[in-house]
This record gives sequence, C-alpha cells and structure tokens, in this order.
Amino acid sequence: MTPEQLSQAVLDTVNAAVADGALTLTAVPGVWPAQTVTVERPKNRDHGDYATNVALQLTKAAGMPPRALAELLAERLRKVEGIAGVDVAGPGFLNLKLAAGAAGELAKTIVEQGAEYGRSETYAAHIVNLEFVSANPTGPLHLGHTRWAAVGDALGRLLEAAGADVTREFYINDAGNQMNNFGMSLALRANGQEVPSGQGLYEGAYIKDLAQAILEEHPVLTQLPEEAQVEAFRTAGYKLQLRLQQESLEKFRTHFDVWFSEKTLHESGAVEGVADRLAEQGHVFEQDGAIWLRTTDFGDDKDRVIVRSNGERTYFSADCAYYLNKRDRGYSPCIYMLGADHHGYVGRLKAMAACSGDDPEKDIEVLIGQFVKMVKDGEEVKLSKRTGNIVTLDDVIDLIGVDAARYALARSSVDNELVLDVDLLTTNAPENPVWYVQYAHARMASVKRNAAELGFDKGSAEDFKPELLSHPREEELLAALAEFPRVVAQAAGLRAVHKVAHYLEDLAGKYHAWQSEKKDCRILPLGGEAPTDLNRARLWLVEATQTVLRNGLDLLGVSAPERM
Amino acid sequence: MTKTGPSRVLVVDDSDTVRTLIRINLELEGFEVQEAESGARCLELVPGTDVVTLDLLLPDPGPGGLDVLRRLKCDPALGRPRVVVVTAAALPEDRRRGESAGADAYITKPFEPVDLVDAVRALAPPGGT
Repeated sequence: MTPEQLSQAVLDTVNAAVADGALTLTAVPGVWPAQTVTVERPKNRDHGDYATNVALQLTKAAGMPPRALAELLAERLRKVEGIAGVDVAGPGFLNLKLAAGAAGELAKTIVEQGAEYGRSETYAAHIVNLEFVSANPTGPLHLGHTRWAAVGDALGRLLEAAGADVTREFYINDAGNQMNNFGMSLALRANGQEVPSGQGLYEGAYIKDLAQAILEEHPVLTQLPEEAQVEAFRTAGYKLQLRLQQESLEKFRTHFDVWFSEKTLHESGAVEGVADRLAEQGHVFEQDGAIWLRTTDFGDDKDRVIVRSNGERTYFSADCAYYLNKRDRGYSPCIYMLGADHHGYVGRLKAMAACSGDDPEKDIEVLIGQFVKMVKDGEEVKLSKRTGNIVTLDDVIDLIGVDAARYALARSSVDNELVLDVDLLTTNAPENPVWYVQYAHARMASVKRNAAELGFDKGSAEDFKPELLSHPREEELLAALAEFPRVVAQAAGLRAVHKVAHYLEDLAGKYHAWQSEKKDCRILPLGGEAPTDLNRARLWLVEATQTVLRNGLDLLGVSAPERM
Repeated sequence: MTKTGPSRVLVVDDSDTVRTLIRINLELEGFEVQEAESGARCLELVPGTDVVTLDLLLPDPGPGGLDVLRRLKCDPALGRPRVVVVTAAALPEDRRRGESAGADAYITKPFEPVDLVDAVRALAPPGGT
C-alpha cells in the first residue's frame, strides 16, 4: 500500500462516516471539503508505519473534540483491508500500522508500474514555459550555463513527471549591438588582424577558430567591402556558433523544444507595441520625453524606461515583449532560470508581469543560480584549451563526463555556490555520489543476473508473497520506496531538483544497508537448497528498488548502468 | 617468490547450481574462480590454485571426493592447496574422515554462502598473498 493509497483510504473512511450519518462536517475554507488527507511517516516507528492528524484538522468542521473524532475514525479504519492496527495518540493523532502484506505489496506495484512509478498528475493544469541557458550566440557555453543546462533540463523532466505540460525554451539574444561586435571580431580575425581590447569586441581564442571555419566554407567573404564583411561574418558566425551550442547541449542530453529568437520580436513589431499593450493596464507614463513602466507600483526598486526620449527601445522593452509573447502562447507559469549576475532582474520581471495584469505569484517565477567553479588537484580550473579564458560545457564533459557532471550539478541547491571536484567525481568510490547511486543500480542488476544463472527469478505476480518482506531493513527500504512519488511531486513544486538526488542517495544507502545483512537478508538461496519464496520475494524488492533508482536517475538525465 | 593478483579458488561439485552459487559469492568478494564438475577435472585444473572447495560425493567414474582430497594433500605436483570440504555428508564420522584426510575446513550442505566465503577467506585472502 502506497502512502497515496493509505491517504485515500483515510479520506474514504471520513466520507463514509459522513454518508451514513455518524459524522457531520460543515464547510471550513481550506479544510473541508478536502481532496486529500496527509499521512506521514513518524520518526519513531513504535508509533506505527504512518500517522495522520486528520482528526485534529477536522475538529472544527465536525464540531467535536479531536480525540473523540479520532476514536470514531479509528474504529472504522481498523476494518480497512491492509491496515493491521490503529491507535489514537495524544490530542487526537491516528497512528496506523499496515498489514505485513500491504507494505510488501508495494514492491509488486512498483515493478508493474515500471517507468510510470513516481509520476503523478499533481501539476496537470500547469502549462509551463521553462526558459534556461539562453546564452548569447557569440561564444561557447560556459560553466554557469552548464549548471542551468543540467538543472533546467532536470526540472523540465521533474515537472513533466508531476503532470505539467512543459516547453523547454532557449532565448537567443540575437538582437542588439553585441551581434555587430561579434561580426566585426570575426571579420578582423579572418583578415589576419588582432582584435583590439576595450572596444566591446570578442577577443577569445575561439573567435579565430570560428573565423577560420567560416572562411573554409565561404572563402570569398574577405573579398567583400568592409561593411558587407561585418554583416556576412555576423550572419555566418551566428549560424555556426548557434549550431555549436546546440551540439554541445545535445551531447549533454539537454534538449530544447523552442529556440526563440529575440530578433523576431523586433521584426514582428512586438517590441514596438509593448508600450501600448502595457498602457492598457494603466501603469505606463511619460516623463522627460521617455516612456516608462511604473514597476514601483509592484515592489520594484525603481521605475523602468521602455522607450528612450530618442525613440530607441530599451533591453527591458524586449524583455517585456518576450514575456507577453510567452503569455500569449498560453504559458503559466513562465519560469526564468537566470545566472547569479541577474539577481536584480527578479523584482523588475515580477513587477512587469504585475503591470501587465498578471499575477506575479502565479504567472512568473525567476530562479537565480549561484556561481559554480571546478577544481582539479586542489586548484581551480580556470582556463580552457578552447577559449583560453573560460571553462566551457565541452570542457566539463571532457573532464568529468556527462553523467557525473549532470548529477553533481543537480544535487546541490541552485541557491548555493558550487564547487565541482574533478578528482572526486571521477573516482570509483562511495564518496563519489554519482558512483554510489549508479553502483547500487548496477549491483541490483548483478543480483538479478546471478539469480538467473542459478535458474530462478522473482516468479509470477500471483505467487509473490509480500508478507515475507518483514525484516526491519526491508520495511525501511519499502518505506523509502513508498516516498518516491511524494518526493517527485514535492521537488517539482519547490523547483528543487537536488531533493531527488538526495533521495536517491538515501535509497541507495538503504539498499546497501539491507544487503549488508548478509545472512538475514540473503537474496540468493542456501548452497545445496532450492530457491524459496523468500528468495523470490526479495528479488521483487530488488527489482522495485532498481526501478525507483532508474526512474530517479532518469529525472536527472543520468544513466542507470547495468554493469560497472 | 611472492604470488601476486587475486587468490585463486577451484570449486569442485557435480551440481551446476551449487558451483554457480559458490562462484558468484566468491567473485563478489574478489576471488578468481574456476569450476570443475568431477574429481578428474579437479586434478587437471588444480595446479596454481590457492583453495579448493570440494564436494565429497563426486560422480562415478573417476576418483571420489576423499581420494581427491588425499591426492591434493599428498602430491607436491598439485601445489598442496588448502581445501574446504563442502558436503552433504554431515555425520560426525564423515567430518572426522574428512579432517583426517587433510581438510582445512568442513562445511555441510545446505550451507550459508557467507560462512563458505569466510572459510575460504580465512585460508587465503581474496587479494592474494
């Protein structure tokens, strides 16, 4: 029995008591009617497998003391199949003990659900736009982008697992002067010249390589007039650099559904129309010849210019147009995942959403990812052979590998600065968290192979005897497996991908602890004896644990190896 | 000369299942394992082996388990490996016979694989000596 099934059983019991007149519940906002009842794992297992405070919550709606309400529900819950015992504790808590078979039955449920186990419809009504990485198409993706590539992609997987409809979007900053500077830098390099410093041009070593690659494909470009050359190199460089970014991201298993060009917002007139659209909500004003958005109405630290007095549109006006475009496409929430240097954007973007008539608590979210650095042999890795001055996504893949990099980036809260230790993350030892979790998965696969060599498997579902999974280590493992759907839904709701990684490490630990009980929890049979129902029941538990580890790793975009 | 590499174990039993079970458990602990299904095959494979796990009830034709045990212990050409007897012959006189023939450890079937691994490990650590 999963916690969700138990929760439903408690709710059904309440509803049945209401239906037969034993209980009268009046509506109390936020309390009753209820769609779910919370059941939680008590810290002290002497208090049962699960506990619920439903009687305390409903005491006002029922107009009776919580303890009396708890007694009424306890009597009915004792008759529910799969519940072995119910105690009323303290002011009115209900402590529930599951029948042995009911706890073990979960192993079968998980195996039968396979890749579906852990998925829910919790956020089914959410049409999410998840925008992340969004690098300028003027250079390679760096370490900061890499953090969002891992976390953003994992968050997309997590939200989908929780039922949301997710579009992963990359905003290409292809408008603005930086593109001209990019074209100019490429043209200079293609003509064998140095790129001068201090003029906002791109000096990285990769510019030389890009220019060379463009020339190889279009050798005539350097024969064009100077102005036409800048334009031609800008166009060709943009196309090439964007493709390189896309290739790096695909190699990192980060997929985008939409590559959205900022330029199209300008070309379609969307940026030009921003002031008029926002004016409809009454938060636009003119001052000193410029057009402003009064974002201070919604907590921003200052109002923002949309159109300068010279008629030029600001970057902020493009940000507004982009947000409005996302909303026109039906997304809510629009989630922005920005680097630590964008901290100031949180207030202004939320205020802008409010100025457009949206609910800034519901329609827009801005997540800020703190800095990340990489160390090797105790020294910070600062230089890339590709760029000379930054560590790129491709460098991370070369140094650590996709699995270890994705896992390490996803297992820390984005609120914290992060250090990737290359030596640790490439070690085959339990201190390396990705190895620890993947190795647990491989060990489970190995146990199944060993059983097959011995000529047995877990057997049919009809022959499975869940009540045999009664060792305390097995109960602990089953309880951890039961938590997975809640972990997924909660992590999706909190946008906290790292909670999945921490859960997986805990689960792997519980598996290792189970198997450290070599004699009491032996999966393979005694030498000279045929496999027993207990051996087979334990294989169900192995496969259930393996399924959850695999599903969890998949949420992080990390592979689950069968052998290591 | 000091031997390097993992300790080598030869598993001798006519039951495929028992051999496989012993091999799996020993390999998990880092031993290098070979298998023999008969006494004759055991004598062929044994040179260079550190420990033999030996069933006493081996099929005919060919030498029985006790004969194999005596040869392993007496014939210097076979390297004088340590021997863990793994057998269904569980009576006290069976055990006495095995021990007087030179068994270093005596385990009766059905056996706990962990105990078998412990017995082998006590005679030769998995990483070699």
